[in-house]
Amino acid sequence: MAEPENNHSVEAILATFKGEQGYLLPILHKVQHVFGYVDKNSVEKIADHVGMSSSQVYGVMTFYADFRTEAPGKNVVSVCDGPACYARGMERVKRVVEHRLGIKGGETTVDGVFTMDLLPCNGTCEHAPMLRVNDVTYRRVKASEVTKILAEWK
Amino acid sequence: MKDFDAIKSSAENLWQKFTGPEARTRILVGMGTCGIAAGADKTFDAIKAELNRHKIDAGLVRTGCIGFCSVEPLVEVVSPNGQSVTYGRVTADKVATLVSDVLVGGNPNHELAVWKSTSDNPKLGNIPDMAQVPFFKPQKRELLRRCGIIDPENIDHAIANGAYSAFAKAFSSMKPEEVIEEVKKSNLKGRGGAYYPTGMKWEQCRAARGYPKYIVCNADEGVPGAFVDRAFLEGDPHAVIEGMLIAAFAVGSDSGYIYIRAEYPLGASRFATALAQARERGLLGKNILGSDFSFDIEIRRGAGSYVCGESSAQMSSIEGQRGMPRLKRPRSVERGLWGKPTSLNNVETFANVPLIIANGAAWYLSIGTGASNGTKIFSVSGNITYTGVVEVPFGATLRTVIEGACGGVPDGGTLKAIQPDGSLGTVILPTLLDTPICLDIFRKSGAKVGSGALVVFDDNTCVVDLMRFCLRFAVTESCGRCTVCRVGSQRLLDIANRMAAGQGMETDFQDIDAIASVMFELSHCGLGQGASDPMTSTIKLFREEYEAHVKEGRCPAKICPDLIEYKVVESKCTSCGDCESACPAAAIVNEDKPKIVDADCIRCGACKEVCPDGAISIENAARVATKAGVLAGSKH
Repeated sequence: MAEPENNHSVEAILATFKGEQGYLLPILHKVQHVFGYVDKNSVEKIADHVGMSSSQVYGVMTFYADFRTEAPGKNVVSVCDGPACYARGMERVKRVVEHRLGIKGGETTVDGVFTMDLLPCNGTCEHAPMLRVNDVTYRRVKASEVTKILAEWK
Repeated sequence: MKDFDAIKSSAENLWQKFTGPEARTRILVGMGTCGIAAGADKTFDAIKAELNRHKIDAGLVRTGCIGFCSVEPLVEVVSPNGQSVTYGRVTADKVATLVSDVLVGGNPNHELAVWKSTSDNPKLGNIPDMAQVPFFKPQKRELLRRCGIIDPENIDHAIANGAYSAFAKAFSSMKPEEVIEEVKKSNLKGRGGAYYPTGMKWEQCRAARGYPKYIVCNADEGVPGAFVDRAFLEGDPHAVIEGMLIAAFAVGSDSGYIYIRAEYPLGASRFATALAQARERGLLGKNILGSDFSFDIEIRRGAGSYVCGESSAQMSSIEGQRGMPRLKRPRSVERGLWGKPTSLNNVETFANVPLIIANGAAWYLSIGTGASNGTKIFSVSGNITYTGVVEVPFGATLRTVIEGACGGVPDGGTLKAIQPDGSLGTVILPTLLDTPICLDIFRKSGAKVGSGALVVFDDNTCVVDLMRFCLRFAVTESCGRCTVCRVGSQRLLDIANRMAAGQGMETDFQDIDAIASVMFELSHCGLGQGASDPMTSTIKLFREEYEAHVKEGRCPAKICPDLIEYKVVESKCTSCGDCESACPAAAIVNEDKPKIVDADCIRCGACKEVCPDGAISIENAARVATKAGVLAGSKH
C-alpha cells in the first residue's frame, strides 16, 4: 500500500485533472491511492495546479480524516468504530490492540510495522465486532483472538 | 417517447432470454459489501469453478444485497422451469455439495435452503416461501424491489424491471410543474433525517433565479449504523439516477453531483458503471433521448468526515473546501453549490421519486399513516439476532422491525435501549416498541425517526460508557467552526469520562443541561445541536444508572473499566491455565491457582472468553467506590 507505483508521478496525476479547486478532493484521493499518503512536495504541486496556496491545500487536506500526511506503517490495523461493533464488545477488543501495539488510533508503531486506524462504520454490522488488517477482514472478533491475529502480520 | 420504448423493449427481450422459459439455469450471488465480507466473492469463484468442472452451462450473476445480511453469503438458484430456491450461509467450502445436489442432482439442498420463491413442487418440502420467512414477512419492499434481484451492473436488468419508465413518463407527458405538483401531493419528505418536503424544495429551487442549477445526491450516509443508502448504490443504482433525472427535469437543472462517502468504494464503482451505461443509452448526458434536455452526474467521494453529510458542508466539500456547515440564510435552494440554486436530496429520497411518478401520488398516499407516507428503510444492527436492511410502511411498529423481522435480542438477552438515529440520536426505551413509526408520533415521544439507523442495545450495556462512545464521535466529527460545539462536546465527554471513572459529581447533571442548551441554541448545524441528545435522553431514562456511577462509584452493568475488577472464582477454577495463555497483558500469574494482577489487567475479558469453567467473574471494584464517595462529597 505504501509502495509508490513507478509509472506514476504527482505531475502525471495532476495532468489528468482540470486545474480547478473543485477537483482538489479527487486529486488528493488519487495521490493518496497511488502513494499511500500525500507528502509536503505533493501538496505544493497540487496547490499550484488548482490555484491555491500550499497552506490552503494543507488546511483542506487535514480537515478530512482519510488523508494521511505521513507514510503509514507496513500493516494497517483498522478497528471499526461503529455502534454495532461497540455493542458487541469492540471496546475490549480495542484495548488488546492498543496494548499489544502500544499505540492508539491514528498512530504508527516506532518500528513502522503497524498503523492503527479507527474505521468509520461501513455498515457491515452483521460482522461486528469487525477488524481489518490491510485488506483482510476479521469478523466477530473476540478479545482473546487479537494477539494471534496481530502475530500473523509481524 | 419512441426512443425509450425501443430501449425498453430491447431490455425486456434480454431479460426474457435471461429469465424466460428458454433461459438457462441462473445463479444469483448476493455481493454487496456485507456479502463480500462474509465471503461471497470466494463463493462466487467456487461456483464458477464447480460449473466448469461439471460442464454446466448456467448464468452466474452478482447482485446487490437483498437485506438479509445475517444469512449471507446468499445464493439463489433458479431452474429453467422457474423453480427458485435461495440458499444461505453458502461459504466457499459448501459450494461443491450445493452444486452437486442442486445442479447435478436436481434436488434442493434442504440444509442450506432459506426460502423459495415458487411452490407446487413436492421436492421442495417444507422450505418456506420468501413471504413467510419472518425477516421478509412484515416488509413492504417497494423501494428495494430490485435489490438482490437484478445485476446492478446491467442496465437492461434495471430497465426491464421498470427503471427509467417513470422518467420517460414524466418527460413525455408531464410539465416540470406537474412533476413538482405530484411530488408535493405525495407528501414525500427527505429521508436523510430532516424530513423536509421534497416537492417544496424542488419548487423553491425551480423558482430561484440563477444558472446553472444543481441537483446533488447526498450519499454520504455518515450516521454510524446506517447502511440504507448503500443498498441502493450497490444493488440498484439506476433507481437513484432515475430519481435525480426526474428532479433535474422538474427543477430545470443540467448538472448533478452525487457525493459518496469514502467507506463505500464498491457502491461508488457500481454507481460509476451505472452512469456510464445510462449515458450509453442516451438516458444521461447531452440531448437526453434525442431531446434538448441535457443532464449529467459527476461522482464526488467523501474523505471520512461525518459533518459532510450536512448539506452546506457537503457543497463546500464538493467545491474543494473544508466541509464546514454555514448558517442557513440564504438557503441552498437559492444559493448553494458555487453560489447557484441547488437542490440536495438523500439517496433514499431520490429512490422514492420514480415510484411516485409511475404510480401516482394517490397510490403513494395510500401507504403509511397520518402525516408520514410511503415506506421507510431501516438498517438494524447491534445486539440483534438478524442484522439487515428492512423496508416497512410508515405506521408499522418498531417491534415489527426489531422483533418481527430481525428476531430481537440474541442469546436470551433483554432489550435495554434503542438508538434510532445512530450515535448522535436520542436514545429510547423498549416501551416505545409498539408506537407506530410516524414522524409526528415519534416527535411527541421525544424521539426521531431519523435516517434509518436502528442500533439495538441489550442489558449488557452501560449507558455511561455508551455516552463516552457517542461523545467521542461528536468530538472527533465536530468541524470546529462553532465554539459551543467544539468545546461543548469535549466538555460533555470529559464529564462522561469522569463519571465512568467513578469521579462524577452531583453538579455534573446541571452542567450537562447547561452545556446541552447552549450547544442547541448556538450551533450552526445539526451535529452541534444534537450532540447532547444521547446524553440528555439517557439521563432522563436511566438516571439511577448515572447516579450509581456518581454517588457509589459503581457500574451496574459492570462495563466501565475503572469501576470493575476481573477475579478468578477459586471454587470453580480447575487451574487449566487457559486464562493465563489467553491474557494479552500477562496480568495472570499462575502459582497454585491463577490470580489476576489488577494493576496489569486491561479489562479486555479475554480470560473470561476462554475459561471453560466459567470461573472468571467481573466484580465491582471496591477501592474506587471509596475514592468516588470522597470526591463526590468533597465538591462544594
